[in-house]
Amino acid sequence: MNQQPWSHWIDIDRIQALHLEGLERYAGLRSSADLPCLESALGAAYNAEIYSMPEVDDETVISGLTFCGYLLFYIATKQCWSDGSKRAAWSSAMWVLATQGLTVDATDEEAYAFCMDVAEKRIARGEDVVIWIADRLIELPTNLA
Amino acid sequence: MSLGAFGPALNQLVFALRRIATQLVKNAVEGEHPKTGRFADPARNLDIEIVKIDGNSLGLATRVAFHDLPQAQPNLPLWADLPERAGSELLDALDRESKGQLSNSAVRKYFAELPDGISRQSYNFHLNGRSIRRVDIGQVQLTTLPVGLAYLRKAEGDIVGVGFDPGRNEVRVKPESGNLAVLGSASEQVDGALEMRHSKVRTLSVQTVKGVRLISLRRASDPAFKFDPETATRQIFTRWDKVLKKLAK
Repeated sequence: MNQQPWSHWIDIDRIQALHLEGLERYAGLRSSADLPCLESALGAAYNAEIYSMPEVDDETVISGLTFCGYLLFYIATKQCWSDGSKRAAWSSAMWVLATQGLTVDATDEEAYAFCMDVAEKRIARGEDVVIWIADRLIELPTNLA
Repeated sequence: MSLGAFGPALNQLVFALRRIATQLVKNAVEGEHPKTGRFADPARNLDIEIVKIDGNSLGLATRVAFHDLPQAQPNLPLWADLPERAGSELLDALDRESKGQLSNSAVRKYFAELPDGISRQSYNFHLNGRSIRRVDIGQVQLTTLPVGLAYLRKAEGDIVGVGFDPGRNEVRVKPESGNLAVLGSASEQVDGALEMRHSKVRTLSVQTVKGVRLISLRRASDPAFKFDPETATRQIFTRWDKVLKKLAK
């Protein structure tokens, strides 16, 4: 398998699996993913991660948060599938957080409204998505982990 | 759509071309010519001129023109192929930036200035009637450079103090090496820190423009988090079930 620098957080196969799971659970039109669209989303999210890292040469800094926010932003705003993009965007972002034992503390209403705001570009910048997530970041509850 | 909607973008495209050209000249002469800047000035005379507007589309036939060759050394080979090299590099940058690969900020601004509703773009660069570079672009995926974003930080050390109501709730951790970390905390985390004050602890915090916030506080001897894909899938579709269901409507 082609290992990308973001593969330890998520890869195309995982995003497609999460998308499919979303369709199977909640219905929707099945279609093949536009793979270049997904590759572009992953690459752009990783670019954002690389260029946002603080200018400190410090091994205590952990990367991935910016990647997570931008991935949500790009998947929600690009139409890589004909249906299920918002679900895939949210579940992919939650997956990336879960790899680090994290999730967000938000009500269902807040999370839904946030996804709609991103998808409909009322939240127009990836960095605003990162900040929204960062402000609500919590450790994954052990009763769910 | 008014043609005027393209004005700012086309200006930006010309600016991008000139910047590429001046950089090419600077790269060629820097360190060997005492007045690199003056040498590069003629490159700013490169222009993109509209030759004709294609029918049935927004297609523009243009040419890269070099006005006012430098008075000094007008026959320098550098000038002869500058339009070709700059044009070719411009198309490379258009290709890369459209895919979200950082390459040229002026080109990125060009894409950002284009009016909404453009689903496909084609750039074909000809030299003496021969096509030397073609770039076809679907949906543009611009990368925006995040500034002052949030990031995670881990630390391992000793709890050397806490703060609580009526002051600020915080946990102060002195790592084995490095500076004291003062982490804004919830009151339950402060209580937890008091219980762990005689143990080595491991912390995870998030740094934002608002400050540093403690996310996780554990004894250093506790087992580290171990990611399990099956558990993660179950957790995501359990916790966010209602959200995902609503998003499907």
